Amino acid sequence: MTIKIEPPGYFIKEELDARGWTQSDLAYILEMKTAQLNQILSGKTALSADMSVLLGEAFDMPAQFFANLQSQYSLANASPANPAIKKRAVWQNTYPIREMIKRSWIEDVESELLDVQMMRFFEASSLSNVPFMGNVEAVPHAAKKTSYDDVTPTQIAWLYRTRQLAKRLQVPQYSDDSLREALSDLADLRVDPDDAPKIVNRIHAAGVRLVIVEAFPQSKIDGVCTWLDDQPVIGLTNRYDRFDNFCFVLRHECEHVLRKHGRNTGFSTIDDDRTLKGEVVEDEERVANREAAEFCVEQKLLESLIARKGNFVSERDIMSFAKRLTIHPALVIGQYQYRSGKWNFLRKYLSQSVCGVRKSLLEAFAGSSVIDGWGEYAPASL
Amino acid sequence: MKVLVANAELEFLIGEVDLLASRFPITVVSAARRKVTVLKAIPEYRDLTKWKSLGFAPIDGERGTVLVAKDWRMHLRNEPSNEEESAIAITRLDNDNQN
Repeated sequence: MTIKIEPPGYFIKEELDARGWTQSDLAYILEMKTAQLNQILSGKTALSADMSVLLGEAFDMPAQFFANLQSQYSLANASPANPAIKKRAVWQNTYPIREMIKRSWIEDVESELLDVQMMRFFEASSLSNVPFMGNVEAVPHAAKKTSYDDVTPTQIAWLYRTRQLAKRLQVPQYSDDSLREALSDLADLRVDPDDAPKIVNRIHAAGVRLVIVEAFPQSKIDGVCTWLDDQPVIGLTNRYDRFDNFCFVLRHECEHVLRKHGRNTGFSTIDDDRTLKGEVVEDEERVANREAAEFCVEQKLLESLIARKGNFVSERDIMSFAKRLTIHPALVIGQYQYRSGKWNFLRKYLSQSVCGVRKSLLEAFAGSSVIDGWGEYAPASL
Repeated sequence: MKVLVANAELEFLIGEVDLLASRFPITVVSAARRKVTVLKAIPEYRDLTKWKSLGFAPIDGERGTVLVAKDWRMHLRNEPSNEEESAIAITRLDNDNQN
């Protein structure tokens, strides 16, 4: 129950009494018909700005006084706000709801269902269990919660979308041996970026639910390893759309899988520039980076090339080296850039047109749960 | 004007509070709240005297009273304010016969 506010006419009538004026007197002063004035005094007609000015002149008061009386009354008697507005604002404050709807991650539903939908999206039994939405102290999965320290809400939303899609994939039972075998086979698929779908299929055949999900702008995610019970899931963003990055991040996450990283907490570190460029020195990341680099280019051979050529590694050197190893030049260039810090070195070989993988992945998997984004979105199904 | 109250007992004038334990009669409460509506609408302290029905009576340059209901007066004090909006404090709500 809010405090009752009277309409401006109530106070104007009081003032007429105090001054010994009648309504007709005021109508005469204002050059109005009494009936017209009565509409205002009875509160049936709101005071306009023009009327506030006229009343100000009549009573020797600032026009603002009458405008303020009207706004107080109007606000106090405004229809109660739809609670859905606040609810949507609370969600949007943390998560990019509109973008999630646009991408079909969730459906555009009434507020009551929005809560339910978001809880399902985040696999939460209550609102307070949704990451970033509840009282951290009250969340029973404290260990899992602590792993949110270094991640952002948009990254967490992407992670859960990855999990949603992974659940729909049909893959054989996972085993470490089958993944190791697959990685061995993948060595022969490092030549042609158009073979990226074959790489994905081979990883699936090993029992790993690999999905490629477009990240939100500025969320700086490359990949993640997460678990559905004991079944591994790898999510990639392919944000650079480069074959070398695709191979590196995929192998990096495979190492997390093989080492069961994140299995107890639900997911391993969400990998971004910091982890993949070695700025994060945790053992888990270091070992995953080492194996990923080795997968892209046998590191001893690359070191040997650099030792022989010093600072004078040429385009021709790179091309013949890649040819000898039967791998795409982008893999060599990517690793060489990382080791030398020469980020502009032979960049032309890292362009989307030369070593992009998104196009072939979209052609192969559009409409399935394997790829999600870039205009091709799987339905929410929450 | 921005309207402030000097103590918790007067909170009911500007917000919703439990009035069960209040010593003020209901007619005084509702009349006082209507005066506050007028006070909030008046832009400047100097305009208080112009609105006759407010029943404002200056005590000195910075203080005055407003007649709320029979025998009941609200005591006001002009408050210094750094903000664009002027401020006024309600310091007391008294019954003339009880003082």
